[in-house]
Amino acid sequence: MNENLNNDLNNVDDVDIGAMMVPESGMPAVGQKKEDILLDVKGLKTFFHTDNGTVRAVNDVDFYVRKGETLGLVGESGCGKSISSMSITRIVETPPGKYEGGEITFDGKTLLRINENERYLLPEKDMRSIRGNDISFIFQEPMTSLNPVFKISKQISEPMMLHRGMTKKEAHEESIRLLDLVRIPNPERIVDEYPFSLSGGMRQRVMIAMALACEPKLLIADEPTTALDVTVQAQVLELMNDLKSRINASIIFITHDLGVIAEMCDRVVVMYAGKVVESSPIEELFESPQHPYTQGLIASKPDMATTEKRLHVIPGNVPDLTELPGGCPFHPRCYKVTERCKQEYPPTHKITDEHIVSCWEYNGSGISSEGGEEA
Amino acid sequence: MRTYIIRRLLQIIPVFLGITVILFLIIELSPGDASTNFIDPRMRPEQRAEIARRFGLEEPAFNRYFIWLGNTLRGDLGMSMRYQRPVTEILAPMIPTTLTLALLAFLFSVIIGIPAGIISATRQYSLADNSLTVFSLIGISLPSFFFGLILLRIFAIQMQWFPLFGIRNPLYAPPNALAGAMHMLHHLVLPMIVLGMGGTATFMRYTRSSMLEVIRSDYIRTARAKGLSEKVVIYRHALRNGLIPIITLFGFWIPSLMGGAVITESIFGIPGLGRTAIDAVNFRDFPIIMAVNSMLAFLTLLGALISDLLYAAADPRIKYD
Amino acid sequence: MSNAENAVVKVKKVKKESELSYWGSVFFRFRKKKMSMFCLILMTLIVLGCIFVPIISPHTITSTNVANMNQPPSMTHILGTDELGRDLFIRFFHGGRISLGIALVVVVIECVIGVILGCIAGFYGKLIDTIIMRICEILMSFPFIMFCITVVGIFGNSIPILIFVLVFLGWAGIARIVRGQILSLRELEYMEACEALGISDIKRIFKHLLPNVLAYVIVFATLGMASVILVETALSFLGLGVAPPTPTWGNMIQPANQFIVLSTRWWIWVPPGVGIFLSVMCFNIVGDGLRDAIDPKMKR
Repeated sequence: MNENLNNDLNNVDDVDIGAMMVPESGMPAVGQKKEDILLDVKGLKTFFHTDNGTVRAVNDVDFYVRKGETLGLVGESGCGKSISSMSITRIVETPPGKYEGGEITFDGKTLLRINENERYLLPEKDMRSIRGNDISFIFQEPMTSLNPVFKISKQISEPMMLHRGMTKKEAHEESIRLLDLVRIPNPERIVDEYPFSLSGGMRQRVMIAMALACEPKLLIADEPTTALDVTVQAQVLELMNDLKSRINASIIFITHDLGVIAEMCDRVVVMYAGKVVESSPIEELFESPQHPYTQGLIASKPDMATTEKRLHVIPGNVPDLTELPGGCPFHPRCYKVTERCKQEYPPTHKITDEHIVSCWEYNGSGISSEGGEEA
Repeated sequence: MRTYIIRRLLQIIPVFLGITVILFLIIELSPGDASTNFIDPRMRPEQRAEIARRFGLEEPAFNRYFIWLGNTLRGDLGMSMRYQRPVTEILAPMIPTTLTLALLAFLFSVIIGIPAGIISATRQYSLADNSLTVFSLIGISLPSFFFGLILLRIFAIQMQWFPLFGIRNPLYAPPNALAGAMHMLHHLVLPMIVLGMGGTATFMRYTRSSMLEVIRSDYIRTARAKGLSEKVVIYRHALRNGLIPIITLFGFWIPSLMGGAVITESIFGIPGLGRTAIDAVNFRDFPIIMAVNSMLAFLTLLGALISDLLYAAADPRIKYD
Repeated sequence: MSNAENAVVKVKKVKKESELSYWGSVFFRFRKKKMSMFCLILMTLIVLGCIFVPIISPHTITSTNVANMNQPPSMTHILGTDELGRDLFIRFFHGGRISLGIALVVVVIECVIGVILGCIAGFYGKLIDTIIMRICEILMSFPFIMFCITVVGIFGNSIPILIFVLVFLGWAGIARIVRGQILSLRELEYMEACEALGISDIKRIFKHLLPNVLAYVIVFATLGMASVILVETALSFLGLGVAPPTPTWGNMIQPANQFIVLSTRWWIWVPPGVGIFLSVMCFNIVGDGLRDAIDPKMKR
């Protein structure tokens, strides 16, 4: 059965994604034409083999990004959001990391396909021509993500000279234009500075300029504002929102901050302990969150409108990924836990075409947030 | 930058004076000096006084230190007690030999040690990494004189690939300068390896750990995410950062090279500063001892300054003013 | 599946580590490195050999036998005999006794002086700190080997002078490390708490700061053993360290300066060289292993 599906994938180009859906993967892609989908990740598994055991950082993750869409990846730190995104262009450090399974299709190209029968990775050379060109990254730590010994101009120019065949001089001028685009004052002067002389917010703008250099089809922003001061955060978010409309690229926005998600994204994928627990359009997620974890996240978001004095807190901690609890990994923290949750991983339910949830408590009409102890 | 260099040079002065004072004190405290070699118990007191005068020993120690210092600053290192010739004249031909040996050894260490460290770091825990790590452990643990003897035993006595002794064969008249240089280089191969071994191992260890740290840094991930090839990532982005601590080590390595040269020269019978100094110590030829010690102390201090300057040159974040 | 089981087993071990005391967990991490453990055992064997072989051997280090000179290894003389017919097996271990003994004495005195002066400099700061650190700077700028050669050459080859000069130049290194540690520890909150509680200076130094510094001193001492052995044997080899007939691994190699010994009598000069090499390597590896075990941040 699996083999047939793979053959389909190999041979047929313009087929309905929905028709090829592996039933158990639960992708809510029915009705989606393949052309609309820029990036499709299915069953991705990225593990880390360390001395202290295997860390299942990304464990069977499905998500997709449409053209021009902004997808939010949300979850607590260590839930596998960053590793999922880094797995797309294979910039996870291997070893200790290893891609253990799944399939990634980007813009009609298969980047990775690993199952029992085959282990296909897009050749490194082709992958390099995608990195920084079709898919570019903005990382979390602006203070350390720029090379301290190279001037700004060299760092922004590099991808343009590599992917767009620009000369050094052209790339230098384009760098100045890009710095201006990300609203850095005095770009002609800043372009010849070293990163250490810039503030965190400025460096993050440089990172954004660098990511936009080759007009990517997909921009992956990995907590781009987390390390910044609140006011600077707001400025950078505003800048990104502004650029979003101008560059016409898809964006994967990774964050643990639902407020940022609400501001930036069209659709949200909620991750917990290396798994996708819920995926939904933005309004639906905030209006009727289905998974108890999502409900907890939304409830713990500070809200000016409520009169409650205390913030809601999800009890417990993110589990150690080397010794995940059996069954649903969230069960030790879940207020609706049942015996079954401790034994088996829940199936994925499709609520609407776009809204899916993985929880035993979902019964077709939604999980009431007032649920009590059952088992 | 210039003010910084001047300030650092000024800071060297008290340290240098401290070292020479301690050296002078030790020599003063010593039982006997080279003049004892010339003194016969049967000599009359006038004759002894005459010898003391000839060696400049009649002044009190305190005065003599300043006389020595004054003369040294004027480039006069005094008269050798043993050879009765100016120290500068004796040491002048030794310095190029020792410097050539030290430079060769340094280049050997850099050319072998740094690439080995890079290979080790980029293939951590591979067979190549493990064997190179073992080699570097051997390199820092093998006493250089024992290593020199092993090389002599194998390559000079057994294989007869290299000469056993000295820097030139007195019977060999080179037809031209190039042949002369090659002749000397041939003599210096084994000493170079012996003197360079410690540096090779040390540079390798430092390069490995520094590169390992850099390769895991965020900006290397950024470089990879740009689509740069692994070669560019490692040899341009990572190496440029990873070498900063190694370059800083270069200046500090000067004293180790000089100390090692003393041992290496005595094993291979090379007429350089080190061997001359050992001879001088055995003969209690104090002006030569003072001269060599002060020279090496000065080189040590200069090395530290060079390290600082190299650090500033390699890392744009470092600015001295 | 077996992977998962493995992971569980390993995780259990890690769990156990967190229950251990500070030194217990250091030893736990040290033990995981096979190389370090192997070298620790080898080092112990060398030390035990140096202590006990001279006691139980039928030969003595000085008994010469002209009829029996320059013999290659045999059943009676395991490592052969030298140019005076002395048994080299016993001389090997006796030489090790001297070489390791000198290194131990030097390192212990260095550490005592270095810790005391480093603590004083780091704890009191100001003028006294400046003076001590300036002295350290001068000592560290000395041309090390050349200065040792000078002092030993001038005052004559004797073990006390050799120890003196090595300590004289060597304590500055550990003093600077201790001072640096004290300075950073002083900034920590618990020292402020001590101050607020009115605990006396001496008590604060000894009860609270020293145990923190101890780990660094132990690593320094282990690596210091290796470097002192190297320097002492080199000086003795040059004839400017320990003088014959007292054997050390350094001066036992000296006969190799003669062509005939170097080319035909390997048993005279190779074993002491191997002895130096093995013990230096063991101290280096054990020192590295301890450093990694004490400060896991340093590795990986």
